[in-house]
Amino acid sequence: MPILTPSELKNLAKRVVDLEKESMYGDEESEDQRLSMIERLMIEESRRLNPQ
Amino acid sequence: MILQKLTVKNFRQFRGEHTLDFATSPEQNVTLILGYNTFGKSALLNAVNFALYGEVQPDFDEAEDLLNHAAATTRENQVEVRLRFEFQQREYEVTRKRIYNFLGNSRKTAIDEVSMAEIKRQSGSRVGVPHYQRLINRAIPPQMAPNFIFHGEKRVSLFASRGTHKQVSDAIRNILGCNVIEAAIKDLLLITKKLDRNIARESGDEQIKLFQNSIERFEQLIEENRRMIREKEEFIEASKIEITQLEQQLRDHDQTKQLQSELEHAKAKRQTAEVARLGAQKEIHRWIRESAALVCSAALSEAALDAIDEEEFRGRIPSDFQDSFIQGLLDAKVCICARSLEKGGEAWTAVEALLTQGGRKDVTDIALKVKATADRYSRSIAKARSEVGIYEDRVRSLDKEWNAANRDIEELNARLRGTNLEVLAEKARKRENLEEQMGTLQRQIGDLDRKIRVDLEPELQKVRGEYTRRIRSKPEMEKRRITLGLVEQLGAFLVEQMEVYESQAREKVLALTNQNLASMHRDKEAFFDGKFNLSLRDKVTKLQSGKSTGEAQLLVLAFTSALIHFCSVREADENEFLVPGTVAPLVLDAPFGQLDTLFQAGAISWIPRMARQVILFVSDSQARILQESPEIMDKVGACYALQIPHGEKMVLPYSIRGASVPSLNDRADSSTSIVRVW
Repeated sequence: MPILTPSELKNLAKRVVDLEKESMYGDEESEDQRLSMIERLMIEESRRLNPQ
Repeated sequence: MILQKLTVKNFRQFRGEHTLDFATSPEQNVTLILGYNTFGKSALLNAVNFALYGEVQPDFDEAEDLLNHAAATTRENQVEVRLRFEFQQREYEVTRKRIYNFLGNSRKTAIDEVSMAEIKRQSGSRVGVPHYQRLINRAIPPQMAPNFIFHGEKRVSLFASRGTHKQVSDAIRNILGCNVIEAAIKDLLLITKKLDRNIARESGDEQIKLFQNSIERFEQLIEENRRMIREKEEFIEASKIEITQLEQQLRDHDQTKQLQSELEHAKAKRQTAEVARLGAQKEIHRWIRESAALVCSAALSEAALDAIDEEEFRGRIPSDFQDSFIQGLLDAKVCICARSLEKGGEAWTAVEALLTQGGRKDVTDIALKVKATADRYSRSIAKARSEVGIYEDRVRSLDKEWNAANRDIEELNARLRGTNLEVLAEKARKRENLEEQMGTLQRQIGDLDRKIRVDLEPELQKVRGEYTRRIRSKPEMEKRRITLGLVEQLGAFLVEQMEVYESQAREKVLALTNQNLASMHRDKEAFFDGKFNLSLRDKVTKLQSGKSTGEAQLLVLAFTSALIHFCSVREADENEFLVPGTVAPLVLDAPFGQLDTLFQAGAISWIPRMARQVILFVSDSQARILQESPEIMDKVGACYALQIPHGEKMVLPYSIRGASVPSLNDRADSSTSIVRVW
């Protein structure tokens, strides 16, 4: 289990929620697109945590 | 958001175009719309919902059929709703059209067209708003809308049911703007499953694949069991609501009996008034017979006495006694004392003086007698006049009593119409069946829940443990594992955050609900039980109240008001995980049908304070209750009445603030029209 500091965790959660907000109240966007964007964000973050 | 104007065209009961201008000032923030049942109150409420979100509310009857039937018969195929509103100091108008395509006589399909424009205040010009739904959803987020636009009595049915935790929890989450956080949690769960599958596929390890398959199977089984529990719970919730409605209808049955007894009482009252009025009229007739002559005599005597009393007639009243008799005596030649009565002589002059004096005395005596009789008449007439005044007052008062009883009878008859006792007996049987089914379902839920907790979840945990250990033994899977762990950690964080927000919101809403209840002068307070069902209890004894519809109504008013207040306070909330709150109008149909008279006044006076703008749809009987409350009537900036064509239904005219508005119009077509009362 990766250890994120509370502020890192909050920041990451905020970015995910922003993507949800954008999808919900922004221009139309498919569910698949939104899931891919969140997944990409998670992969990027795990790379940052474990660069090897 | 402030609603300014609603225009409906061929929408349900409304043939052609009809417009309502809403009261918008903070000082007079209430718009009152009067209408009997089926006249179109719910249609107008749903027109607001349709304009904003392109759909009517789920509980609206025959929701798919919005086109006015009379319009449909002439092949007019377009329904239109325009809503003008103010949001963030700008004016907008959204226009939604539903265009029907007729397929044969009964079937039709429909397509919707929507446009929105900003109306520039200075020039009046219109500028198209491309992302109209985005703007509307910001003004009133759709998940919050059911707390602002709703049918009061239907909402009360939800709260009068035995468990309210789901309604309360949903309402608080919705007003809190939790839906983005909920969507994020759901998405992270989907991504977890996808990552799990990827790890199993990419590892090339058959054991990991087997573990993964087992995990998915257990998860599916758990999900399947949970789904069954949810379905059964939903059925139970729906049954509870149905039972509450049935109980209400059965109470109405009792009320029907009560209405019947009230009707009989009113009829007896009208009969008594009628008999008493006849009696009073007979007394007047008797008075005419017995006292009218007296009045005439008295009037004549008074006139005669007035004449006697006049100075110029004194002593000169013509009389046989005075004139002929005295003249006869004076014509005699000799007096009884044997003196000669020569005309002009001394004896003649003395006799004339004596006789004139004696004649005058007799006349005076007669006059005095007449005067005494006249005085007697005067005294009698005063008594007679006062007597007839009493009878006249009595007749007037009995007329009022008769009219009031007659109005009651008409109203009670209207309420009693349509009551079918056999149908009510059927409802009682249905209630028993539903209660039995609920018992069975509760037992099934218990079994399923046990199966999840005792069998499936421990097995899943066991397999997950094996799976994790196996993955950890493969360094090439480390990156995937870290991503998976990250997603799980994030999901758990958001669940925890949401629970914190929900718990804080629950406390605040409960406090606000109790503040509202206190303002309604109640000795009750709201509280959450262990399962977060919201109920009322006595402030002192802490004993929970029964779930009467009247108390549920009070609770709904206080709770909804608290939600609206909480939402407006959160307008400027910059919480990154929640949708901000909003200041929105309260559009409320049938707001207080069942309120106990004990706290009706307090609750009604509370309504204008519930939101910045309040639009109330009320029946005539509710309007009669409202007009007793100056706190609300002083806040009414606009009042409308709904009218239907003559001949469709016989109902009493509306009465509000002393003004009487006919409930039937003279238009020949079959359409409800909207009349502005003030």
